[in-house]
Amino acid sequence: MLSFLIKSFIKAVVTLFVVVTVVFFATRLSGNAIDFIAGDGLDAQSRAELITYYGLREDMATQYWRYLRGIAGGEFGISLIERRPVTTIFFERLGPTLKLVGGAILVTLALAIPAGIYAAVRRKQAAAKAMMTLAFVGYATPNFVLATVLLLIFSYWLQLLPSAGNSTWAHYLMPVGALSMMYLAALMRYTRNATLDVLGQDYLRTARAKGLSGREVIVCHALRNTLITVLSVVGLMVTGLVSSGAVVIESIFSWRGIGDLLVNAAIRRDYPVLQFGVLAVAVAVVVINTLVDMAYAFVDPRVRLGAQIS
Amino acid sequence: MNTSTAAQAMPQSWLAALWKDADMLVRFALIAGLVLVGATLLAPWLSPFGPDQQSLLSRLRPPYGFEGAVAGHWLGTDELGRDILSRVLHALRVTLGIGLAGAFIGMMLGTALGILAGLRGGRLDDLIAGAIDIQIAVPFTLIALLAVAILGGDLVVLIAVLGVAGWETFARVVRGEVMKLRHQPFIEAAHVAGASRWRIAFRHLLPSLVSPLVVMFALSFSQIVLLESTLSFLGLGIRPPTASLGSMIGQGRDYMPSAPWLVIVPSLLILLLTLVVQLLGDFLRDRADIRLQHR
Repeated sequence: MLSFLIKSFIKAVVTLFVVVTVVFFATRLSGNAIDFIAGDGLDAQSRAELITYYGLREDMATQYWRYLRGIAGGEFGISLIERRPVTTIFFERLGPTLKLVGGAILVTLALAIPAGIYAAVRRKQAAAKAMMTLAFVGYATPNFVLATVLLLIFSYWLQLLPSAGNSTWAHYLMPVGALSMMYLAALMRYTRNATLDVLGQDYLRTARAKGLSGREVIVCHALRNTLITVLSVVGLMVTGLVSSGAVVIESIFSWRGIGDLLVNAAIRRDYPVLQFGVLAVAVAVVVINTLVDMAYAFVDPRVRLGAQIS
Repeated sequence: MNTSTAAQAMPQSWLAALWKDADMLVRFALIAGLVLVGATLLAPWLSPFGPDQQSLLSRLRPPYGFEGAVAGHWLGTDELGRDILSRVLHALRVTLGIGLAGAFIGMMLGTALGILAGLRGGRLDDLIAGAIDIQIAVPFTLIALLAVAILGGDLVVLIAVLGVAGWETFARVVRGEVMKLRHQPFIEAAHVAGASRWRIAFRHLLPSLVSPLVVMFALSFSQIVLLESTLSFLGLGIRPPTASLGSMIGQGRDYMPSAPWLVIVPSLLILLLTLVVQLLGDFLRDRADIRLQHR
């Protein structure tokens, strides 16, 4: 187990280092950032001052080294547009995103796993078939299309739900719904398949043969093994929610979170904000993935033992 | 365009076998897919107007059959009086074109690296496998956001960025397949017979990889279509006046209360497209019986 943990940790560190480096060089690919920010009408002296101010005078290696030291010391620069530290801006936006993504994760897990198991156990029934059809369509629907259509129906036509902001619980219905849909559908299909695999195993036939009721067989024997399989995709799902889902949904519902911040930073070329945002989300994703790997190794001995052998 | 020439080159029985295996839904998807591809290829001839042709006298007119509709504009007009039907047909062309080009780039890159890693092994394999792991760990929407912000939304840049998005899936699966195949007797025999590495890769390995590649191409295509639509929807993809389906929805949002068809028409089309692609992708995957990790 220990060597597995060390391995996961090293992998996470290497990944983050590569991300940091790629982000640094990528943002400098476009040439001198000053010309983007300031535009044409800048006299030579102010331009030179700005270049010194943002530390763009030294060669790449020195800049890179300073950038790494800054990261180690928690210095991430100042927003080119708001003129405030990017970390302050980022943490102001963190709360709304956590609420949105947390809500979506809860909804997804609470609905998808029972629904998936039900659809597998009662696979011949019409209700189960209807659920899977719905899941198929839900999986194929891009979240921004769903969000836009929901907005059109519930905000503009029926005027039932607010279209922007996050002050009341009613504000959460559409964003959480639109964000969860694709992952809900994916997880439901995955849970169903995992359950079907488990249901075909010999040990379940044995459990039934020794006289357990259908419910006991499912709860005591099938559920655990299904969940192990499902756990492996939950990580992917959560990272998807955090990274791409939240970006789109927040931008549609004017949700003042990280995703909205990043899209606006990308549109306005606010590099320090974008740079830090990408790093922070990458850190979150790597941490989540590592945790899921560990959880997976914890519940499934084959994974951690395999890791030790290799 | 790649697929249609490939399909023609295949023997007739291949298509017939495909059709025989398909159930009703998949047959519907096959036909709908052909219609979509046909509409894309024939867009310049099918469109009643030019995609950017403005008519300020008939702005924001609803589709045929609604009050205030103008004859000739079957699906209505947008805020500049451009014909929605014509725009949607051209947008579909852009969306599909980018999807194909992007998936193709990803396939070339990923297959080359996958074969290299699988055949050579050692340090190079460690390096490529590490890169695959890193690409999996970092969400691509972020990379795309960063890349598009830095490099601008030029069409070539967009295709290149989206092409890079898919390489990892191809590389991962191809690497695994090559490692499995490497010790098969027919590869070892070729080796003993004195075939060069290139010859083994192209003459002996590649043919065995065709069926997983076709399946991955379909999946990668649908992912790239989704990614492109999302970026364009956010205003970070295709630049106006060129429209893709995503950017049409994104821009139509401003007129949603008064002119909902600006959003509804491209939304329905994108939904049809993703459903068709997914049905066909699932069908091909089940048929080839390949286990791919779903992302």
